[in-house]
Amino acid sequence: MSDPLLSVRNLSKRFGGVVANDDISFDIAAGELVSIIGPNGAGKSTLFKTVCGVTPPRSKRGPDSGKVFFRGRDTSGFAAHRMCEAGLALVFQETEPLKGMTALENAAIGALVRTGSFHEALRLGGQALERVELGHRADIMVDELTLAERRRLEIGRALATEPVLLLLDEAMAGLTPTEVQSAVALVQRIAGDGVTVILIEHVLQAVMAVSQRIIVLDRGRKIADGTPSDVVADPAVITAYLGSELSNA
Amino acid sequence: MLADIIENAKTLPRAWWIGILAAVGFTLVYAQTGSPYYQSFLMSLAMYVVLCSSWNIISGFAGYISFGHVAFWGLGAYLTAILINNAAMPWPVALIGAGVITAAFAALISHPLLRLSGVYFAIAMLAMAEAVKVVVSYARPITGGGGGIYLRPLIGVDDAFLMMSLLAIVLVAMIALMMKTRFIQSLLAIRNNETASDSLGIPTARTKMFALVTSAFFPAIAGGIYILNTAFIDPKTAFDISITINTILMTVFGGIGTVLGPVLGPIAFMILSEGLWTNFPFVHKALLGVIIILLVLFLPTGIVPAIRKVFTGRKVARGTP
Ligand SMILES: Nc1ncnc2c1ncn2[C@@H]1O[C@H](COP(=O)(O)OP(=O)(O)OP(=O)(O)O)[C@@H](O)[C@H]1O
Ligand SMILES: [Mg+2]
Repeated sequence: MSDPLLSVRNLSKRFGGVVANDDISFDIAAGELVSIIGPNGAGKSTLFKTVCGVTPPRSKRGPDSGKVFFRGRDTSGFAAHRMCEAGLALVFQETEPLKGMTALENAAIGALVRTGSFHEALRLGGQALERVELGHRADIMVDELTLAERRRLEIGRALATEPVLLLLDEAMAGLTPTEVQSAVALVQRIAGDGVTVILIEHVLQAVMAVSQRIIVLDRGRKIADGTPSDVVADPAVITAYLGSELSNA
Repeated sequence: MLADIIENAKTLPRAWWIGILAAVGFTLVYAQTGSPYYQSFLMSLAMYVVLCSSWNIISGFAGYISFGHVAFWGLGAYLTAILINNAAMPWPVALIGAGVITAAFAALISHPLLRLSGVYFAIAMLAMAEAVKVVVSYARPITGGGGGIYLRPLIGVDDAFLMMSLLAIVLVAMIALMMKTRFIQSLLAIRNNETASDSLGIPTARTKMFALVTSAFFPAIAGGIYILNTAFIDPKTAFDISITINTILMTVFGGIGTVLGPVLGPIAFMILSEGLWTNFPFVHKALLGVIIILLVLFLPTGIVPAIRKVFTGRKVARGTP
């Protein structure tokens, strides 16, 4: 097997007394479409942010211990903009579009990492908007977009950075079932274009539909890693979910 | 960058070109024919356009509100005088030298200060300006200490007006042409959400440093022109916090984060305050205060966005000049 695209080795991250990520290891091969699931507070978002170099504090943004290798390079502790340059894009769980700008300008900001010219960035941003089917909304101020459109704009803006690996943190949260369906189709299209994708998702319908592989986190630890059918049958996963999500689902 | 600027020049509305040419033409003619009283008034006005437009780069576009802007102006004035008195430089060289040294100073302080945000950055800049004032006050052998620094008078008010006005025009035109470039668009993104900008590939620390450096260079030149004309400055004047306060008030008054706000703000503000002073000499400050409060209440985003709203019927993206 060739080198993995992303390799996370014994990664740990603490916030004060909270161990948000505890000795997590996994590899992602180029072309895979993987989901990460787990109860609230399991450490999923922290894992994404630590890999991307955006966890606070800024002075120590990488893992506390362990390493991250991306495209064969040790990128542990790289600043987020360097990870982006290297081809990694993250769509945050909590982020919002850049306000006071149009959808196109938002996408163009993403493209600026690939070109020094803002006019060229606008052209590339326009193409990215087409990819997420927002071409017709290019000149709309982001404040006027619907939630589903904003989510797609965030994905489009990430695509404008021309990533080889795209991390999507709950990009489908709060969408209607129809909107989830088209978001799933979008993710599959992106993966079909050759982008490796890792999803964090609570919408299990979406997870089961798209993923070739599922990684399960619980209280900071990786408790399962396998095909969707293996993972749902795993006793540890069932226990973790019965303890939280499924009980109130 | 250059390709963007050329593209922006092609699409800049004709009214802009007419405005720039008219301002240059007026400056050239008025420097020859105007009365010293009004030349001096217009020089102050141009100086505030420079202070406001440059403050607007770091504080309006990047969103890092600074309460220490006067430091760059004061440093520019002092350094110009020091380079002439102690290094025997011709004044144009000293002027540019003062701008470059002040910009280098801004680069130096940007690393620790621009890690702070919000009110912490504002206070740190205030403290920086006070610290510079203290250092200048105590470095008596070079700066003359609290007694101030003297210079032989080198340019008259006509030439000072000419230079200050051209400096203001160059700065405003430059910003208008740079709105749709990677630099200013990155600043706007940083103001919106710095973490998101970082993850979208914007080297935020470097971009903010460049913003502070640009923001420091122009007021330093303005300070230099000021002292070339007045031939004297002391620490109390050079680092007077009311200059920073006026700069902030005028910019907010005109429209923070816009290109024309820092131009219209000082014009409206200074005409108003001059008019009030001549007509109501005893209560002009109180009246000005009342007017400022009313404006903040009724035009919270400033003049430029309000005018734009009237014309377009809706808010316009920040990126438009
Ligand atoms: N910046 C932070 N400072 C302190 N604690 C944090 C910080 N970010 C996350 N945590 C803590 O780390 C743990 C993991 O949080 P994280 O957001 O990674 O979970 P998650 O799996 O993404 O949860 P959710 O499904 O709710 O999004 C939680 O206990 C959280 O409170
Ligand atoms: Mg999360």
